[in-house]
Amino acid sequence: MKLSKDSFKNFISQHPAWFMVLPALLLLLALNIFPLIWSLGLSFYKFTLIIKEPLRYVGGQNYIELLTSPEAWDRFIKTGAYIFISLLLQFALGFTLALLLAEEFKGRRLLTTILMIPLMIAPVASALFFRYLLDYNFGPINAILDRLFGIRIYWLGADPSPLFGLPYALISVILVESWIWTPFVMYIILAGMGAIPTDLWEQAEVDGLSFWYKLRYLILPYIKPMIALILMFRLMDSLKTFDTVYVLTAGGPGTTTELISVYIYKLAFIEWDFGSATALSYLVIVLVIFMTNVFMRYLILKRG
Amino acid sequence: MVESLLLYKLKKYLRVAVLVFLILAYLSPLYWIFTTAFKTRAEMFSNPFYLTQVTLENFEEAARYGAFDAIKNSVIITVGGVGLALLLSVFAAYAFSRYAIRGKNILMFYILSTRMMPPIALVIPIFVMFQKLGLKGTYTGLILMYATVSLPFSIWMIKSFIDDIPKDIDQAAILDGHSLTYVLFKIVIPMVLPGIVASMVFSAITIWNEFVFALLLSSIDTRPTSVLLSSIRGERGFNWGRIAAIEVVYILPIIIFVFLVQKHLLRGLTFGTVRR
Repeated sequence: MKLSKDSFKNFISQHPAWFMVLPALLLLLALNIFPLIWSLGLSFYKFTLIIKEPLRYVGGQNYIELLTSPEAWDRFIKTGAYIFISLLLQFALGFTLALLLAEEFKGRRLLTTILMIPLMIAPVASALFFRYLLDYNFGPINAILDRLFGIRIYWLGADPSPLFGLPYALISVILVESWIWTPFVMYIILAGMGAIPTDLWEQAEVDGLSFWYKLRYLILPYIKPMIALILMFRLMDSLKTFDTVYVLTAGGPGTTTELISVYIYKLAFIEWDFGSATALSYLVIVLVIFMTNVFMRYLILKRG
Repeated sequence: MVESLLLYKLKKYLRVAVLVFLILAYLSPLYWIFTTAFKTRAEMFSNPFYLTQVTLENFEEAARYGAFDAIKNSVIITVGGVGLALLLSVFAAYAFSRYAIRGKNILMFYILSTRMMPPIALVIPIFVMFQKLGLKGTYTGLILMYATVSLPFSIWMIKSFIDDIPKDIDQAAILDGHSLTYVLFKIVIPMVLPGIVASMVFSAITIWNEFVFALLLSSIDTRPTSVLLSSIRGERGFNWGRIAAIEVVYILPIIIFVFLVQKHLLRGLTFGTVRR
């Protein structure tokens, strides 16, 4: 077969779509799909960068070691507790704010816009500054607590807090993450409430329905799919939490705030054990894919 | 009747008052960043609450600490990443919106799923790859990486804007004998320009703020601001004035962007699933 310049041109004009997609696809292939496949391969090897040790195929050993290691389970449980409490907090705060912002009043637009700021500035910047706010000696939060109640708290320490005995450092991580993400919950709930027909709202107002009645029979049915959406996004993103922990506590004191992403980081770039680190990454990826599927199915059912 | 109206008004004002109080408390960390940046060292420790004496010494110190090199690196990486991603995603988005591409659904699902992937999982193989290819610590490496990371999102977002334009418009232009390039650049792109700008701003903010890739793929000379901030440890603890000054320079552009394109940001955050 002879490939002339003309037949090439012909091919392009007959399949313009593929040529428009191709450059993007190539980049994704090179720096996303290929690395992920390669790291799946790596997870079946013993591989380290520090000593010139040859790759050694070990089969599923990395996975077996992780799944039987109390250390890895401890990180999973910590991450679970962290996600559970931060989602509760974000829901409670975000929902309250959304209800308060539901009706029109002067300055509402400005307030909702300002609330976008925590979501948009770098988590590293927020976390670093919370280190100052939570500082034992100079931090304003302890200064306020001291003036009001005469107490100071080691916010970034390992002492158990009244909340299920979780260490204060983990509580601080939860606080910072919730500070960043509460507006996200609020915005989606607001968007859901925006879909409630105005005449229904007005009817409820005219009928003088109680707040709880409105919540149960008017608001909740409309925001149910939104809640699933929020849960999906927040679960995924919480599982990825890294920046704030790295800056706020670096996983410490000890391993009290070593969430799963931080643990993977330590396995890979402190212990240089790339095999275990990629294996653990894949366990997390499988978990993410599973959860996405569950939520997607629910959302599609709701819409279809 | 009058009584209930009064009660109604009172309730409304009370609600707004509670709301304003909550939001002020909520945003107080920002107040602290901005006041601390302009505080003298003495006042930092003696008076944590207000600012009485404005000084620029924190900014001078931040400059000596290399803050402006880091900002410069952030700008280079962000502009490069956004530019490359934009160039590739406009074409791809148009193709996805207008043509029946085989396996389109799988592709779109893949694109969406990259949003879910923990960056730490991706950075491990990339780290090894970049080291072998000599891309580690270079602007090129970071720009390629960030373009890749923002591509799926840009394609998805720009596609959702192109979907809003009726197909008949470009079909009519093609029937008139105009080329595909003409249709794309003279008709479609101008119409979705607000969407393109929104997705650019969104990608820019994401790259500007990104930390995991920056931490592991940059070098001392190419590190962006997020990495500089994470590495700050003073000789004697933290110099909070200096940190606050760097943060002000780092987050102020973002705050301005928020006010400029706020109505598109939610669509971006939820990957186009929620529109306001």
